Amino acid sequence: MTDDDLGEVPDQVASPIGPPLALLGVAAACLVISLGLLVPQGPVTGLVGYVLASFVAVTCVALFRYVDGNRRSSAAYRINSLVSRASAGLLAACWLTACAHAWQLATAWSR
Amino acid sequence: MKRQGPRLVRLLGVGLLLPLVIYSGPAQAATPSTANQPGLGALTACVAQNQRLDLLVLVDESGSLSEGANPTDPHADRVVALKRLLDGLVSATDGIGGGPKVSVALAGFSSQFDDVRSFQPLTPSSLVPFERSAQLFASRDHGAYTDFGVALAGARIRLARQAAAQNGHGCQAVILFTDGMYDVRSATGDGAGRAALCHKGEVIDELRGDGVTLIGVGLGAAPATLLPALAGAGSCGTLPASAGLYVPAANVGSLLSAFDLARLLIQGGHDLGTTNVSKRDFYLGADLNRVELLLRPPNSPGAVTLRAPDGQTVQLSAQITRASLDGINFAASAPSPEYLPVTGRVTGRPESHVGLWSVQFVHAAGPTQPAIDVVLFADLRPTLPMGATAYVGQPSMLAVNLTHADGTPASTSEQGQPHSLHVIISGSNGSGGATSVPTHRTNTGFTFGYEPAASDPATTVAVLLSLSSLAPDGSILTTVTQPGQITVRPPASYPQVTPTNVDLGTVTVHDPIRVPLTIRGGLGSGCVAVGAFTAVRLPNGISKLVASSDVPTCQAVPASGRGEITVSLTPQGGGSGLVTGGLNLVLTNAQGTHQRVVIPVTGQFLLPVNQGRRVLLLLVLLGAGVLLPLTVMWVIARIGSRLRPREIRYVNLPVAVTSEAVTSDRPLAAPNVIADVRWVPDGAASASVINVPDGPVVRRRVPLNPFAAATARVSVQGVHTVASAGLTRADDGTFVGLIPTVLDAAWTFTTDGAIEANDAVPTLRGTLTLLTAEETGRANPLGAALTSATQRLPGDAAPIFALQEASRKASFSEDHDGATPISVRQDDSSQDDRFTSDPFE
Repeated sequence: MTDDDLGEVPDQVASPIGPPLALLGVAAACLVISLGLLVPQGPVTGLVGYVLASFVAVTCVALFRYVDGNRRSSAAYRINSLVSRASAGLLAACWLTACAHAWQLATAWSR
Repeated sequence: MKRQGPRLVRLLGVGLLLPLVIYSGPAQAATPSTANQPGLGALTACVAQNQRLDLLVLVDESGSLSEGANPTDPHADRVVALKRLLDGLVSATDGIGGGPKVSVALAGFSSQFDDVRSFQPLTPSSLVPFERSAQLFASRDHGAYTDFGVALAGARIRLARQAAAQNGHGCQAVILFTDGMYDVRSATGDGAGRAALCHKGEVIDELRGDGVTLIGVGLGAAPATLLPALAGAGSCGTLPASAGLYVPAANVGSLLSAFDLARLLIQGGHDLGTTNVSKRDFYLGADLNRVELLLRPPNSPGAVTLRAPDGQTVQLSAQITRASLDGINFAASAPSPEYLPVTGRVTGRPESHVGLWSVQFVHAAGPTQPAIDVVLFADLRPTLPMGATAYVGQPSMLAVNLTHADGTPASTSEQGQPHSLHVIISGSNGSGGATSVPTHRTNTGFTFGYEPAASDPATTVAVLLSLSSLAPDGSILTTVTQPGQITVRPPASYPQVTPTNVDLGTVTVHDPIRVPLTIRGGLGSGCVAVGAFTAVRLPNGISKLVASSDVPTCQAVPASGRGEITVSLTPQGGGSGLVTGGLNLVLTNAQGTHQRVVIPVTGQFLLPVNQGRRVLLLLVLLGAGVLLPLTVMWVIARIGSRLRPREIRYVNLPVAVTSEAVTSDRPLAAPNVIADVRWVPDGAASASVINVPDGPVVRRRVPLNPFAAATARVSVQGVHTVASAGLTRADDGTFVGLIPTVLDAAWTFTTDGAIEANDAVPTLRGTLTLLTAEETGRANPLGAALTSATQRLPGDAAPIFALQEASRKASFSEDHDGATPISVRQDDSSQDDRFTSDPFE
């Protein structure tokens, strides 16, 4: 058995990669739209805002964390701790917004 | 189906046309395009009142446009004209109240109705799609017949649908372009057309009954009498046309100007008429906003000279497109060689442009007949002040001010311009007729008298004010129509009730809704009795609102005294939605005579909230909103772990064994031992394993929160000793491992030199930092090599496979030293077996 059997060891690190900010951007956009939909106070807009803030935005954040976790295995990954904190904050904001929409929907549908 | 207040609008249209005298200068007579026609005054008044216009453009698709010996429009100039129409409607809103919403639909016709584009708001952003649709007409010219009946019937259906979609609010018009006479399979000619379209109850009556204005544009040999009659300029139908326009286009060159003229008149422009001469004079007044010159030169390309009242001149042509003269900026365009439209916009005040202007073609003679049409737009508009009030049975004088579009009052010189004002007052709540009232000129505007009828319970009446600017000879230069509103109150002898209209706001319907009213006594004592509530609109589920008061019959109030009355509105049933209607009150004066008044009531009803249901729904939604996202995250993590290659990742650590630590048959030169450090990620969780070859494996699986730092500690028991190790995932995603190695000699390999090693996976998530003997402060047989690895790894975020590299270097160094070689081989099965027992799970 030779040293080659050990497999090639990369000598150089690939170009730097970071967290998948696009997913975080989509989640943030969903949050903004959902916040905007709090104003009209209609059941349809409430439902859309609720779905955006809960399912869509949180799924985007979850995907962000999943993809981010995978990217961290790369030697070229550059850590941005601020983005990690932002994703957590975004998650909390999404849930709060979803709760506000839930209140609107519960009120509208209980008449 | 009445949709545009036809009675009021028709009356206005007639009123507007009564004084119609066209001033075209002393030298020549102009032929007004609206002569002997209803014109579009009623349409523009309707648009001013409703701020909506639905316009359906019907384009002939018959084969005569491009086929035969003498095709009428072989180059599809109708498409150019149509695009100019659309562009002009988007870019200019002067004269119709500063921006009504215009919706346009495009359709073609020959033997059948052909939808090209359904109704859609015409805006700058939708203009391009509209123009793309208009372009389709360039190739739609092979139809067999010219069936106006099919075209107008189809148009009526589309307009009715659009009116229903807009809740009936708006004004509707059809522009019908054709190049031929009425022609169907069984009959041809104007006579056949009249028989099919103009009898009682036929499509023309239906369109007029719906309040639709028909504008006809006839090209070439278009029907000489039928199309004007359809547009209201002739005998057709049993209902009178409140508005209508027919614009002939003798040739392709005049087709563009015909469409432009139709558009300008829709926008509220005032047509001074067409003259077929090469020079024309026209008067511009002080309150001019814009002048449009539709010029068809005798030869092409044409050029014109404009002469201002002070004698200055400028020349405009297809090459010289911009000029300024006496406070007016002129812009010319040349959509075709036979047509030269010029737009002049007044740039400021004072009115240096007032006076007699002239326009003259540079080359007076040519192969085609010249034509000059002048359309003017006014800047001033009549405004009825807010809160204008009239009392039943008492004549009131109401003032009308002259203001600019931005609300600023007219200047003295503008006030001095000769004007005439026509005022049309509608009946009570639209139920009565419309009345034209006389007006009087004042220094600041106009006044008119109004005395509401004693039987009129309306609290507001609608007013249409039509202001005409006059030339020195009294002819009309421009006309602007504006809506207004007058509040009607009972005469002073009766008690007065406030508020005069009630907005309930948003009301939760569970108990009677209380409406407090304040009563002020009139000149004598009186009383107020509450009548029924007349509903105009109620939510589904509410059959009616029952009005009652806290006084049994009539609430008395002394002369000039004050009283209160509370009206209760009790819904019969339950429902949410808009409520509109009127609360009827009967006022009685000291003489015992009665006056009925109606107080308009609006509001939004909401059913009460079922608290139990609300809490339940809230819990369900919160549960779904919190639990489902968490489930989604978990599912994503699980799916991710499934998709990822099943991995048992570990790293071969190069270790060195000191001679003191080795108990062997033969001494080993360092390094010759490989210890395995394994890290086994399991989806989002992970576990750490430290293993030594051939030793019993103890594995601890630790579920880790993927979003937080976590620690996995593993104890590894060797054959003769115990080693412990830990891997800690830090916030930044790196893994810090501590290997307080206490491996002793019994743990070394002294076999044939082929050391069992685990397969090496070249990557690990994160970075593994190994702390060596120096960190533990103990003698460490692994020391040298680990120190080497440690020096490479921490701090600079080097990948974990650097350890492998170190391992390889260790092997090289051993080869170099000539000691027992170390070989590394993969043995997955043996590794899997090691994980079969897990005392911690």
